[in-house]
Amino acid sequence: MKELLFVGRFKRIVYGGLVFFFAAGVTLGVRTAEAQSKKPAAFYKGKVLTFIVPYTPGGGYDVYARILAPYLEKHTGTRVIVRNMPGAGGMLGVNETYNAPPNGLTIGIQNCVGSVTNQLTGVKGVRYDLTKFSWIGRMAINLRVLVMRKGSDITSIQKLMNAKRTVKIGATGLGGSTYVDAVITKKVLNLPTEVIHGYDSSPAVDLGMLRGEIEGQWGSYSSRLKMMKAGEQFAILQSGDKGKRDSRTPDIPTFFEVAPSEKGKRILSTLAGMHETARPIAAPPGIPQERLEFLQQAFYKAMHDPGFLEKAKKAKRPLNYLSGEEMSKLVKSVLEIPEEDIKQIFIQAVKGSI
Amino acid sequence: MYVVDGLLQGFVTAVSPELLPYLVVGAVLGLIIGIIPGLSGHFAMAMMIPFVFRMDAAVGVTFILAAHAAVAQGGGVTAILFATPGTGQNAATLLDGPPMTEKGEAGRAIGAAMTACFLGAFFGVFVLTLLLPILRRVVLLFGPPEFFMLAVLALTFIAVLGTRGNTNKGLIAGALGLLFSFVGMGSVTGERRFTFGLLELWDGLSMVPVLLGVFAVSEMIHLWIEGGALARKATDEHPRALQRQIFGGLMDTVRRWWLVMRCSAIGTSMGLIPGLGSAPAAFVAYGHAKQTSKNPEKFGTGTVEGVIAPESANDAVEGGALASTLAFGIPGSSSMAILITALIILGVEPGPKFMVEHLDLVFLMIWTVVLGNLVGTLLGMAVANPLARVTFLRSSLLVPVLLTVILTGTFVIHSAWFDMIVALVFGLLGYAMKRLDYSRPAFIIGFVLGLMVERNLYLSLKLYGSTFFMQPLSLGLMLLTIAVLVYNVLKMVKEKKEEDSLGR
Repeated sequence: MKELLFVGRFKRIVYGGLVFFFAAGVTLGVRTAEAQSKKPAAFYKGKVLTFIVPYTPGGGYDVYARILAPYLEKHTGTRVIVRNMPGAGGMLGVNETYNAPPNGLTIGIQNCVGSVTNQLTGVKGVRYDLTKFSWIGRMAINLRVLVMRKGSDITSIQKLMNAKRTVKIGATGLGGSTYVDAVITKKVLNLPTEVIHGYDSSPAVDLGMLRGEIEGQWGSYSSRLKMMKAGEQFAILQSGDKGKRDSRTPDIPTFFEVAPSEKGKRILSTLAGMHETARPIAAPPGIPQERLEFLQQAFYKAMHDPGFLEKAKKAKRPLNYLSGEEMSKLVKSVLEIPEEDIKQIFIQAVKGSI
Repeated sequence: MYVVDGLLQGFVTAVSPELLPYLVVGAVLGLIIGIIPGLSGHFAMAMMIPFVFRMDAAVGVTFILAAHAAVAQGGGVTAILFATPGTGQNAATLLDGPPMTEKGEAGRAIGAAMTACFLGAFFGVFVLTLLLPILRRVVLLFGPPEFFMLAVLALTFIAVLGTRGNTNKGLIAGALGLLFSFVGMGSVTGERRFTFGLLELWDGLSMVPVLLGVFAVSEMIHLWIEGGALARKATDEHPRALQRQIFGGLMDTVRRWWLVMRCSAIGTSMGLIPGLGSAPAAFVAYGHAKQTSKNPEKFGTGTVEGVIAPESANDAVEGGALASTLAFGIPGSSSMAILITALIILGVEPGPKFMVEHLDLVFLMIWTVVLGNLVGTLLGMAVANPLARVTFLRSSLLVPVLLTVILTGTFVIHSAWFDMIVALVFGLLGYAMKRLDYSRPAFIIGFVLGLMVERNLYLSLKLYGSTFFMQPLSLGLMLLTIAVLVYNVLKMVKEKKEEDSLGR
């Protein structure tokens, strides 16, 4: 009797389960079909759009994302949630963005200079392929400048190239942008510099320059601006914009102008290309085409929204919009280094063995 | 003379009807964020950035800085009542705060801690104000050799922090802390150390999950196993009794003004080291208090000095961290970096000319730190009463709730599951250390200072060669370190002799 009862209950559970799964399957099928047939605007309306920032709150990338978020909300109709996912120098968040479900509800900003060097040099732990990302667009480029401290007799790049003594250039961690810029230019331009890395942050290098233990450092133009305005630092070299002098720094030579060889120029153009990719936003690969286009348009509108422009200006965040398609082309061209030895130079630069 | 004028002006601005509400609201927000375990002042400020866009510069600065100022008070209340650091900087308060609560002295501990917080912050900005005319020169005195020596000096406190007769265990705990600090990508060599192929470990173990694990999670395990309530001995249930205790604690702190001054000085000078934060300063101050106390054996069992020392140091840090921010626009801590971002948004460009061009803001900031702390202190004392009642709940009710809050706190900072696992693993380690009498503060000091020592030693050697310590300030710090070590060794030898002569 007891056994029968048990069998009966067992059957009921099985049947109940089957019915449940069938119902769930039907609902799910209907829902996905419905989602795909919906126009993207209707799809996004009221949904949560996760915006991954691969650094801690308060940093440069975080500020860019948080300023943009309300305008993405406005132009997509979603609720944007900024999620900080720091780790592995920003790589963790990029991996996370790449491997998120490809439904168009996760996007991420990234430090593309880091992403490119990591992919190029085949660092362990890279779980993304930059050529496959669904690029939404770029927020800004990095204009890089080499600055010297007030009172230094190295007042131009020519003086640095001809200096008879060793000039100390400060940098943060091994393989970071300040370091890679310094060692690559040292190698290509034969600079008599000694790159001293290991500072906590670039403000800490600033302190070193003020103390006089360091003479110069590489950095982004926007972050150097306040020191330059105050007369504590001055720029002698820039990475330029598409190979030409940037409109903000018309009197500073680009590193192409002083490169001694064609080969050197090619190495530097790879470096400059990386800084052009700079701060893009991407969704995981394989999201539905119409949603990607919708996001790209919304990004375009947000980046040109007067309210956003005003906020970015207030926060002193320079903007250089680039569309998703162009960004995709740019990344491919930067990753295609024709010569193996140039690639090796970058690998050495990142590993600190130049 | 401009200092006096400026101070008066700053005070009038800070308490003006346009600013005071923002100051109070900011401080309340800061207090709440401080009370929630895991969320720090850094987090409070980052969350407030979106709100400052439409604000006037003075308003925005007051709002953000007041929040940052009051965080330590909130964290202190949580630390004392719930054996959980509200923020990383309150971790050292866990050594004597919860034992006091257990003894039924929660009110006294909170009164003492809140007062110490305020006095510490006051001391920090007072020194800062005195140094304003020569601030730039003072900031530039400290470079990698000096940072290295300061960190080594702080490391020597590991020896003191072990329980009596257990110096070896203290040293082992400190060494273990150092070992864990080296997890991650080395800034000097770029080598990935002890990462076991885990991307999550590349940037090293984050401080907050480790602190919460070693101190809070372990405490929860302990409480769960022991049973009972957080407060063993019920105080007089009457709310007046608690208030009387709080006032008693206040007086305790005021009476120990000399200790407050010394610990604040430790906090302010350690605040000068970029990127160090407040937690290490609090532990070092605790070590100092224990070392100079007549009854060092009472530390860890609920002595009021053990609460006063870390709480005065952790708020005095801001004075030091503000120094390079004001002098050059160079942030001295991650919180100050956010403050600078906020200032830029507010249309003030903090740079080397900040003090010249925005002296009014400098004084306003100084007053905001003082008044924000005052609001935090008063409110902290006010919330103590209702919160203290929770500590009478039995642990089977309290532990699950607290553990959930703690683990959520570790998760939200980086939205990382991994940090929760870190907190749990270090919770087990912390519990084992507690049971086996290995000093947890020594562990934490090693953990937070390891990288600092490595980085600055490398930079010093690279920049100044092998005689980098021959500059006046670093030489002085080195001699002080040696003096502290010799003093400790002699004391230990003497104690050993006394014990031997007692026939043991």
